[in-house]
Amino acid sequence: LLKRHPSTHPHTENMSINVQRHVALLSVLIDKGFKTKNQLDPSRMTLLYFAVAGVAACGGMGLIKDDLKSRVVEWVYAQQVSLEKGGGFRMTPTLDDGHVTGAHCALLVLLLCGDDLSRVDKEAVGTFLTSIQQHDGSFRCTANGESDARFLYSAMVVCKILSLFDYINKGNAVKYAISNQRYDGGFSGNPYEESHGGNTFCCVASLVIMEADHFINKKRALKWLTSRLTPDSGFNGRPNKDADTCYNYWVGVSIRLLSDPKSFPLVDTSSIASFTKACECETGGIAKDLESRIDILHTTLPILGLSNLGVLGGLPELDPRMGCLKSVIDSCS
Amino acid sequence: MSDSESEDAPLFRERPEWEDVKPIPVPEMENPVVKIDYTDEFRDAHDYLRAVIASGEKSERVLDLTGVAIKCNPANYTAWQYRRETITAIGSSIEKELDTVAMQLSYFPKNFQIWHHRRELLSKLDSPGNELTVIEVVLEKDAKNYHAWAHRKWVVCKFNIVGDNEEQYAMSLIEEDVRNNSAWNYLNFVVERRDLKIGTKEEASITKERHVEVRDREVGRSLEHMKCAPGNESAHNYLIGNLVLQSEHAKDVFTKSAPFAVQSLLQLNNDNTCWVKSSLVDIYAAAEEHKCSPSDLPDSGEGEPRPYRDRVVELCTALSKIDPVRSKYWQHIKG
Repeated sequence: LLKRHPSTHPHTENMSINVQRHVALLSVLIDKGFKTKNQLDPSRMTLLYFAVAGVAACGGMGLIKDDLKSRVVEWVYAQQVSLEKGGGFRMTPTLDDGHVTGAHCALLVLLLCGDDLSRVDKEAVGTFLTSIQQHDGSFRCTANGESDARFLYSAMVVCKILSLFDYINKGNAVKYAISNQRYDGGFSGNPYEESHGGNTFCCVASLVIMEADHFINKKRALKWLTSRLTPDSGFNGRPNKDADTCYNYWVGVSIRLLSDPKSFPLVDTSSIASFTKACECETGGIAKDLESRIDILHTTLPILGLSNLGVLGGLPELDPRMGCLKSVIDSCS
Repeated sequence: MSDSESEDAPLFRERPEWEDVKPIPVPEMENPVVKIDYTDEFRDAHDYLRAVIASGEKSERVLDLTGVAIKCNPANYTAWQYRRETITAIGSSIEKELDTVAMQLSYFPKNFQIWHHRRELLSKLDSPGNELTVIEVVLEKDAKNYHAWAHRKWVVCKFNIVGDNEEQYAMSLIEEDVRNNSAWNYLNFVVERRDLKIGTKEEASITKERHVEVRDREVGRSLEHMKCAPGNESAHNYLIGNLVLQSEHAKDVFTKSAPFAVQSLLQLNNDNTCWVKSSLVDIYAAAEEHKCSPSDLPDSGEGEPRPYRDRVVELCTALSKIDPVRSKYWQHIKG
């Protein structure tokens, strides 16, 4: 029996963003997938997360049939890597290595589909996290892969959901995150690299998850973040670069994580909303800017970002640290 | 990747020299989600790659195979890793690989796996080779390529070559485009590493005088480049980043360089200069924190220099009007 509750219908009245069409597009991508896009293969688990999170953020999980949810859950568990093989989750059945963002996205997708995580091998995941953490506190994506702020964040989400902080060196992780705050207040992907909106979110959210955000120079970070708003447009990711709709999320949520709730948001959101609307495709999906084609990441993140900024009314509340519905995260802890 | 490969190269399952290998198909469940309609070439290469990874074979033909898998999918981190292991095992030339991969870089300059591959190779080679030139070629096409700049930082730190050349390189890009934020960031890294030994074991050996001298020079540099573009965020961030510090010598640096900075900014200031006013807010706020007296820093207008609090309030009020998208932020700062 399909259970439909009024609260799970995406509300569309008085909202300029066509949430219903985006939910429809994302659902089809989950169900039917992509036509010959080989290059998307290493991102399958992340794409699944964006699609499911996008539907959930729009209040549309009730529209996803139970059998599709089951297929999602089965597919995710099929990517789990055994302890003997290193633990974690694959991004795709094609590539055998456990990947930290694979684990991060797998867990969020399972939770969003109502799974209780009972089939997750916590010890294997924990062992995987231990194996990818470096001496400087950073995390590689795979046993032999590169390390940067994105994978610190993925590791933190995994630790938070499964309570695996004992498997990592939290002090070093904090030091690494803090060392990424640059002279201009933003955070970089690795020490001394350029401040960047995505890396800022990853470092700030990681520090909030680790309850170590008091080490952040919040004043300078907020100045950098609020400066990301370009005239008559959306947020950019770095100074003197063009606006990109995904920064609705990376920058907007970072501002939330660092602001006093009373003063949030510190910027005018109307041009962000108009810019996002201008990047919307009539048949569903959003693009990064006016020149580009739509993609899943740029559909979900701008919507999550607008929801966080309070621009879209009637949508479920997000947990700003976790990229997930607050109700789902609250029920898992 | 593989010089012998062309668009019409036979699939591995059609090649007699691969007859001895039994491909391992990808274990995909029936009716998977977010499925991809892989091309035949993709499936074929990946099934053979899985087979050689399982058997542990490392050979010239495996090198070839990894090349095809990578051609099908440049982000295949498993193929890149196995390629590295194969190169090591068969003693293939690292320099040759670096050259081959440099060509890939021109097609995929934002691919994480390629840059990581180069770092792993350079570490093995234990030499920077001509990597700085490779990076320059990429930056010529896109002077703000994040990967390229990050990679350059890695190379110069790894091989301890953070010298005057690096400052010159950053400056050449700033002269080309004063709004190139990546170049300003890199300049900051170079100056802090080369002159103040920040991030190295010698950091503690740098004297207070040297700190003040270096920071003063950089404050001057940012102000010099502000004249032609007073609204350039990158130059303002660089100014404040060198003038308003959180560290040990913050007050000495501020005392030395803030008066000239304020004077220069006041000269650039007019009704519409948001960033100039924003930097003045930061400097006056710091003056308040350092408990400077009002006469320490010039004020706009003719009268007695006002308390810093008053100057900040006036500036924030003006900014609320001329930078309306951030008016709430300016109100927040005022409060």
